[in-house]
Amino acid sequence: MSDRVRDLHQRAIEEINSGRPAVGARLLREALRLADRAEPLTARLLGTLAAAEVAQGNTGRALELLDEADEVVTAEDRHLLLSQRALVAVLTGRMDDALSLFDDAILRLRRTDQKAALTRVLLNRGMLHQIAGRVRLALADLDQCAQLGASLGPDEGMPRTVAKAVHGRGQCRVLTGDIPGALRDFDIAAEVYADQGQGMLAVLAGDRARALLAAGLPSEAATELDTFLKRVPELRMGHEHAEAELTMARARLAAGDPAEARRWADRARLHFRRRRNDTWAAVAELAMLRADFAAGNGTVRVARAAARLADRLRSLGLRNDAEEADLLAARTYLARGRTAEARVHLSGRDRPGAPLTTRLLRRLVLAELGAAEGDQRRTFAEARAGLALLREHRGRFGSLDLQTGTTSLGGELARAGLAAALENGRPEVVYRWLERSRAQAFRFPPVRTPADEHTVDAVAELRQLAREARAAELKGSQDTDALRRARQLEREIRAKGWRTDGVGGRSAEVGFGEVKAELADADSVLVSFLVDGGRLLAQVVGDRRADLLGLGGTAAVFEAIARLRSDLDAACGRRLHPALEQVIHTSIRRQLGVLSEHLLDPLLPAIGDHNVVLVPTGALSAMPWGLLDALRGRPVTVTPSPSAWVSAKRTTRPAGPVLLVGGPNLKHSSDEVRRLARIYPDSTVLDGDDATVDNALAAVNRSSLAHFASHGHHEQENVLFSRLDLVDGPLMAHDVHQLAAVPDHVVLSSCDIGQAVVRAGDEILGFTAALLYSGSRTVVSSVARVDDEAAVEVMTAYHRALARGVPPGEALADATRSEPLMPFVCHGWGG
Amino acid sequence: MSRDDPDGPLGKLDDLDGRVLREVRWLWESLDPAPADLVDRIRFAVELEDSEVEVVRVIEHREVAGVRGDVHSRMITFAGGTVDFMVNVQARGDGTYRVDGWLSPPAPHEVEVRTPAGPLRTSANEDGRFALGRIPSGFVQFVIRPRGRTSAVSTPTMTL
Repeated sequence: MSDRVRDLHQRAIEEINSGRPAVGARLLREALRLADRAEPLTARLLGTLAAAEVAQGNTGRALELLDEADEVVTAEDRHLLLSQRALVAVLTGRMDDALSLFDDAILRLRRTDQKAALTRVLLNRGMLHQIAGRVRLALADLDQCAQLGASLGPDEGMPRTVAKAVHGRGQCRVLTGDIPGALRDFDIAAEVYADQGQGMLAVLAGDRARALLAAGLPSEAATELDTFLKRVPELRMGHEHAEAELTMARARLAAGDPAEARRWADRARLHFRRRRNDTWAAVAELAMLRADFAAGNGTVRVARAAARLADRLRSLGLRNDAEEADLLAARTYLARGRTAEARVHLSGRDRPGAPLTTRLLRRLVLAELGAAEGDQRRTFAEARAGLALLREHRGRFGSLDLQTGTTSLGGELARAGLAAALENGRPEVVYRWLERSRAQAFRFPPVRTPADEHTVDAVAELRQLAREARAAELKGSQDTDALRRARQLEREIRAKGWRTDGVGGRSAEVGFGEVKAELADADSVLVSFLVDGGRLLAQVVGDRRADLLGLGGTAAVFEAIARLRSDLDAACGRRLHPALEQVIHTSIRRQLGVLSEHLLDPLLPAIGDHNVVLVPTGALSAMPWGLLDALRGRPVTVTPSPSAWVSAKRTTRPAGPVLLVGGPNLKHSSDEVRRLARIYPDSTVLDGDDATVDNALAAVNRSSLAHFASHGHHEQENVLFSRLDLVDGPLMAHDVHQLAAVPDHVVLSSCDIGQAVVRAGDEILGFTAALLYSGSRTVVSSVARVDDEAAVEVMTAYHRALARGVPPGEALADATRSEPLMPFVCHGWGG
Repeated sequence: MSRDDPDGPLGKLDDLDGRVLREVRWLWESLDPAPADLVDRIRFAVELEDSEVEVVRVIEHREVAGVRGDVHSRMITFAGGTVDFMVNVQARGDGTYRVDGWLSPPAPHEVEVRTPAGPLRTSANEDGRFALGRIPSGFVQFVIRPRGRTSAVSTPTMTL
């Protein structure tokens, strides 16, 4: 009989650990019917049943069961009930009670040799420390748990306990900002869970989402959560479900959608309430107040609610959340101009080990306090300190994807500093803040993700699928299965990169004086665009002058660019009805007129007849500058930041081999490559069947100049997979990031491939950006469609001029003079 | 053949007939099922209020040769008796679409995009150019009301 009971108990534990507490509870009730009340096992059964009830939200019932168990438990098993009671305390928000119960259980277990049990309780206490924001204590418990568990071998479910400890370590790392390390820990745990706990895999997805959110990728986090939330109902994980809803609220908030954020937070709060989990309900309430504030509802009511919530969170033992609520109260009072009340809530200081977001938030609020009190020096100091923290944080990322993902707090810190700089008005102060608030990712050394076997296979499969999809597309059909699989592979490959550590170190900021000297040397002026509320501004820096000029409305300019690019696409490469063609060309002229008036005309006196170096912002990164009449024939170079331009200018490498590649399915690409081969007689030519990805990657490594005439495709939604079509599949931005060396100068005679996705802080991602990050000095590429036939003439003229020693900017300006609608842009260094 | 021959053309339907008809129905439903969205489509199409509508033909809907890119937007050209027009549909990546359009003869015609969530309206500028920022995915139909006319021009229902 007791064998049967033991078996039922074991199975029940399995079910509960796999996220099926209801099934576990049924088995346990059956076991209790069969069991002899006097047996020590009964107390264990009751304890496990209590755990199953907790997992289903029935905390009252769980406590009754534990009381019942207390009466029959043996001294040896006492620790079990203590830790189960502690778990109920955690879930009902009595953190301090939980901690003393765990301490008691651990003390008892240390006196026995029940190592497996000790391992489990250490895990639980570690998780408790983590929830309460005591990261170092959490890490100590979790590390000890993992070591002890590993020494015990595979018996008694130890691998899973160890996996949970590693999982918990990952959660701690998210709090300290070590995202690559956290993702690696999650991977290790996932391998174990895949074998023995599907339910835990879902929980892991929630934690991965929190990591991505911390790294500034809210939409990626939302994707992870979508998958998780879809699976949760079938797994019946009430608490995890509500926690995922709360994370979703934070993701929506970070993505700038406070209304949606508030809905998710409210839903989470109701779920926590229903489970009588006051602790987490309070955390959800904080998310609701944050959403209120973000939606512009910064009333005194919100400030007071945040202040009250701070006290409640503190009494619940949640120090980090309490701090965040206090800071929110301070911020809201500041927004109402009530600085005295704000100061009250700013009295605390950073605790060692406080999470990055809390520390950034404190800097931001202090910077805002400075602005409110007219203390500019304070605003600068606090914003600078906040951005320095963030920089250190981003320096830990190896993947560009994470480096360019900025937390929304980073954006706000930059805005606070820039606003103070604009108010200050001194040109070098404005310059310094412009430099500090954009394209920071360019200052980290590139890290190549070591390609593991799995990724290599995934990339190969992806290339094959892309080729099939492209073939189907050319036949006028669409292979939706192949496309779906491709999306999945892209995600896997991309996610792999997130696990790579940064190598530390970063290039220095180039000072104002230095930039002016370099500009004089290149006979150039620097125009940095910035958005100030609804208007665009530009700082024009020349050898002797620096002006801040007001331009047109942001919305009008961005809309004109969107219309112009659509006009160019419509006009390109098709035989149109003459009447419609007329409409399109009229529109092109009109948009160029709008853009000249609002974007360029105010700058012309300051630019004079110098060459122009442009630092775009937002949608301006997709502007075909060369089409504007006033810039026609004039060398124009586009760069992500002044520092990036100076470092490209200063890089000099000896000229080396030339690579010419002609892609498939184009009528004139071979012609273009043949003509260029006459200009560069010693060049390597890959055309027709030779134009494979492997050949191109092998040759591009060694070349100092590379020219691709092929179909190009910018992937707005998955930029790392923007690509050039070669004969056996695409060459992707992802491939470029893997290259040990890239050519000094790359010409992409293709459509669209000059476009980029622009993230907060004007961080850019795309094919052209990949080359620039990897070290290409000059990249010539197009921000719209390119006519196959007309490209041949333009490119031949461009390379003829280059070969004569004309600098790239001037060569491109001359080559496009006779083709007024060629949307090629010279990125990086133009001479 | 007597008038009350149960298997004759005038005979009443019996169980066997019912079974045969059900079989036939099953056959067609399996071999050539009605599109899942057929009813929605019909409902959407008949809701158009104007009675005098000229439906334009799609004359070009394909990827263009002679450019160095591939499909990231859909260019569709329509031709009719009153106006010709072209639209460029681009996914914005958040489940909505941006539509740019060009109308000939150029004039500030009224433009309506019918969607299941209700119509979105704008008007072309005097050069015949229009744009709409956020159109939800799903069925759409473009309706142009040419200036100075009472009748409208409409595209067939399309799916974004």
